[in-house]
Amino acid sequence: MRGHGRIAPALGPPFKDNNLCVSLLVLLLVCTCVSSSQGVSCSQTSCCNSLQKTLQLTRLLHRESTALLKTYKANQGEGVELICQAQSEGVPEATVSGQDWAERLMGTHVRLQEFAPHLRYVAEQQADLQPAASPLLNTLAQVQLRCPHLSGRLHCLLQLLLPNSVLEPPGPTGQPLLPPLNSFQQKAYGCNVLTRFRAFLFNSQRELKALRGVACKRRTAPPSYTIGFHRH
Amino acid sequence: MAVFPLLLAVLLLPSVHAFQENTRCVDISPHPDPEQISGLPVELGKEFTATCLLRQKDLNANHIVWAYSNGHKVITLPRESYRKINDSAGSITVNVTQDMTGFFTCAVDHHHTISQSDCKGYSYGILLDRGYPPEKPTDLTCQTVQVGSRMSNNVTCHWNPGTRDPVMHTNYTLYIEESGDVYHRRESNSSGTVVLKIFPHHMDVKIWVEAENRLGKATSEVLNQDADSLIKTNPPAKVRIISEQAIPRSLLIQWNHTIDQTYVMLKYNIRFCEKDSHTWSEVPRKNTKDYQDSFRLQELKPYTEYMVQVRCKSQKDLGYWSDWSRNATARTAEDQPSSKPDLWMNTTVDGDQKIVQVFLKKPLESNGKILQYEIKIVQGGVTREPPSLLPFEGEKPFQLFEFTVPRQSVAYVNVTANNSVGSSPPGDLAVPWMALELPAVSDVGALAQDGLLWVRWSAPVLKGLPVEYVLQWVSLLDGAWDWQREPRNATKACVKGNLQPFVPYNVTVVPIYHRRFRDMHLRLPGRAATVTTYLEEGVPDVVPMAEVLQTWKSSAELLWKEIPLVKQRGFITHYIIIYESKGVKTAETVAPDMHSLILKNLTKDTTYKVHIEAWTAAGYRKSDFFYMSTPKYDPGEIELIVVCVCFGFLFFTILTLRLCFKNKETLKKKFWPQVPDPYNSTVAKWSPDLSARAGTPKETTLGDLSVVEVDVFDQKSLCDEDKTSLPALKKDKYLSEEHSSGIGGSSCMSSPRQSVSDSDEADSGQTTASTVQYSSVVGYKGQTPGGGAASTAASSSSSSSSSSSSTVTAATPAPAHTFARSESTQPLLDCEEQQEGSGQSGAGRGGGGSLFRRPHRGGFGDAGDGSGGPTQLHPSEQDEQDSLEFGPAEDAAAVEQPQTQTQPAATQLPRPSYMPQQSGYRPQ
Repeated sequence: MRGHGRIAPALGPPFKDNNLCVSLLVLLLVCTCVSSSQGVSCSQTSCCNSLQKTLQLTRLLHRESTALLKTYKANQGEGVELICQAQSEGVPEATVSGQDWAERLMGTHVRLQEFAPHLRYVAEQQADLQPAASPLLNTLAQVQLRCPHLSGRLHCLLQLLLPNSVLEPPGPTGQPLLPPLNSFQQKAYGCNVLTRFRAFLFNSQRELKALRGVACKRRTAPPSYTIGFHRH
Repeated sequence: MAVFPLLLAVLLLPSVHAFQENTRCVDISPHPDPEQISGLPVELGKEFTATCLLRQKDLNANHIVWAYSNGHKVITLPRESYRKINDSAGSITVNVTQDMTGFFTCAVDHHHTISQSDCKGYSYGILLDRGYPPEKPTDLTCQTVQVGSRMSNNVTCHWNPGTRDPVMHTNYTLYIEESGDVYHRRESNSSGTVVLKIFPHHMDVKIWVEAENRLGKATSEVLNQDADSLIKTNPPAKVRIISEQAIPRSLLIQWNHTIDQTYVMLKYNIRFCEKDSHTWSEVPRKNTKDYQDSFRLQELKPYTEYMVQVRCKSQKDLGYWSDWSRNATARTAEDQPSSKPDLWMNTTVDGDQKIVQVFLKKPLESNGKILQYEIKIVQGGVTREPPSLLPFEGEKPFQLFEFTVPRQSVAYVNVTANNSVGSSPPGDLAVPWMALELPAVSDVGALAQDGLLWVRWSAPVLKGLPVEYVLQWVSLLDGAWDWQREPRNATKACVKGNLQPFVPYNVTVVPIYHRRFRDMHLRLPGRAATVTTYLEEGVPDVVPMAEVLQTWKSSAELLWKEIPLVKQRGFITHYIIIYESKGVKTAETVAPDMHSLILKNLTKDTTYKVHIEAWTAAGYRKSDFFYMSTPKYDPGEIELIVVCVCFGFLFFTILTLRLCFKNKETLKKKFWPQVPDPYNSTVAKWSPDLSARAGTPKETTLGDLSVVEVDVFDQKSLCDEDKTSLPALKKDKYLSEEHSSGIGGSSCMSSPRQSVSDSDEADSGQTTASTVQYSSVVGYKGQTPGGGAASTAASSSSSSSSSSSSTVTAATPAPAHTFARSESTQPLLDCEEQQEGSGQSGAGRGGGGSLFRRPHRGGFGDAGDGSGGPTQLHPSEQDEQDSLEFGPAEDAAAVEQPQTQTQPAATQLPRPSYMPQQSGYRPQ
């Protein structure tokens, strides 16, 4: 499975610990094996092209998530705004942290994977609440299916930009550890997940846009500037 | 020899096949998979080796027979291809062919076996599944279409499975791999559709096709490409056009994006055309490469309706162009006319006036709806006021304006066309000026090519070349006409009118010159040059039937009507008259302006099948056949022949008659030989006393007459019926054969000497000197001895014509066949005269018996019937008597008829002693 953990810049300051080098090499091999077993094939495209496609896909997913949120709210009945104002615990943050673009890119990849079980949980909840032919379920399924695409693109971009980076093992991908929720809580939870997911995608777009003019040109010297994230 | 057991083996194959392996005496290797009912897969055209295993010891591999069935019969394979492995195994290598549809068998002759084993069946067969391994699929293309606002999950691919038929069943599997997931769909043809979970926008996909059958597997090239390259979106939606009055030469086009740009960033392509022209103009693609939803078309024609279509495609130039959107139509705003109206004129002179007809066409660039023409007539440099206004009539191709000017004046017209925005530039044309006739163009010709009529000409050689040319065409059928203008440097032009094929047109080229007269600038038409032509020639619609004006025995004159112009459909180049008789076909070519022909060298009394072919450049059409017969004779020829024949006959007759007259004596002697006239005989002189008794010479000589009755016509009757009399006749030595035959013929020609000798024999006591020699006359035909018929015969016998004898003989009763012979010394003419004078009674009596009797001297009177003695006739009278005898037999009979009526009385009389001569002799 894809890495899920700290970002290890490939061309950062020189390592002084040889043990760390060995362990990183092992991790890289493991990561490669995991990646290949995942079946994601990264075509030999240019950095710019890969970044462009990643950005396009992020836009697409953002648009779909916007449409999903709109559809979600339309299908939750009256008082949906009130519902969405209710905060839910356990929902991933929409921000991506990191000291440089490499860490933020890695964080984007990790955060995207964190959203995946929550989206699935929302879909399961709405499958109980909505009729089977509801467009909400269809749109939810589409967004869920699109996420791996973006994840794959980010993975390839990371491989392209940071070939020596070590992807930590992914965290738990099963059901999020949430307490039992009533119907209202489920609606509020779903709204929070979708809202944050849309914000996350928006932030990802900005991050990728910022990366467009820097990463592919100066791969050997990652920029150290930070980008303000849109928080919800 | 081996065929029968082989057939039997093949028939038993199913049962044999069902046996267990350990029970079969014969087996084949390789053995097909029992689950594959289609048999063992083998490749066509390749060699296949099978081994036959004999499981019984007594069986010998030398007795193996390989064969296969082609569905109709069993074909035994040649032994040359057999190979013996050992005594219990043999193999064969064959080339697999299409006809190996049945069992491929191995059979063994087991009649040589001695021991009996448990195995059964001495033949075994396998089925061959023939075919080719699959070819590598090529030309793989895939596409995804838009459904709703998104791209469909279905990816449809097409590929080329190869040109070779694999023969055997082949499966094709389409694979699509995206994001590590591999989708596949098994197809059996050259296309397939794979359903994805979601269309992988901005992702890479791999697509390939795998073809597989029992002989192998082949995989196409893998398409590793962006998933956007599969996209074919819907055309842009809601395309609309906005026309703005302030910008008459522009249209604004707007549309809606068919899909969100996050899916596909589109670029567009726009094309437009004038309505109903269907000649599209495309906006340069670089102008529409952005993701945009509007575009302004510029430099359009004012007041023109345009159609616009838009399509789209991924900006990355991936995927496919969408279909064109539906037509969006709008009209640009109106503008003032930008070109001058078209003028043409026709002038006629009427006394001192010239009537001018001006034909007006609206400007080509009307830029709006023409409302009226403003016409100014300038005569002698002075413009007539006020100008004429002619309302525009749009339904007409051109309008007519008429005015008159003095014949010798110099004038021209100046015309502008007005619409709601403004007026057009003026168009002008001068009235042809009689005093200045400008030359025409030369070498005018027309050529139809690719459905267009081209007219060529040469510019007139003149100082001051034409400023333009006017082409005028007029249909010779319906009079429809039009004109068009060509620039000054043109030497050829395509006639733009709606010309119809097969219609003759007169195309006229008129040069327009620019001349200055005083202060006027005139555009003067020159003389016209005209050519007649067709846009397209065809074969004539009809061909007239020829009429046969006159026929002779060797020629005929045909006449046919000219084909009506409307039916010609082209220039008649020539006619061909074809006439045929007895399989011989002859053709005569006739010039197109000739409509009659005299066919020569025909055969008389013959029927000809004739038809006419009328030829144009496009071909010909035949008329119906008609038949024409030549007579046997020319008119008047029969009359000429008849006249000639008549003249010839007449000439011949005249010549014959002339010859007859000329040789009258010869002919007379020939046909009517002279009979010696005893009267004028000079053989002997009459004694004086006789001369003294010249009045009755017969009485003195009658005693010397002897009568002989001989039937010269029927010797049989003479011989048979008068047998009794013949001895007496012989006794008297008076056989008729020994004497002259009487009057005419030989009797007439009998020589005196013979007569003398006869007399001597008859009367030996007389001396030659003392007696007068007479001709002895033997009775002849017609002297029927007995009955009334005899008298008739005697009467007719007086005629010397032998031809009458038969008639008389036929009328003569059979019994009386006696003839009288006269041996009188008296001239016979006396007897005859007497006979003639006394009627025929004596002759009738004389015909009663058949005897020879020597008459009594001086007994003649007694023998007569009292009608008086013989009267010697004068020779002239004798001639008259002769002439009577030459009459027709009927007449003679008629004359004699009264006499025969008196015969009963005469028959009572005693039989005369002689048969009197019926007819006299011709005087000699």
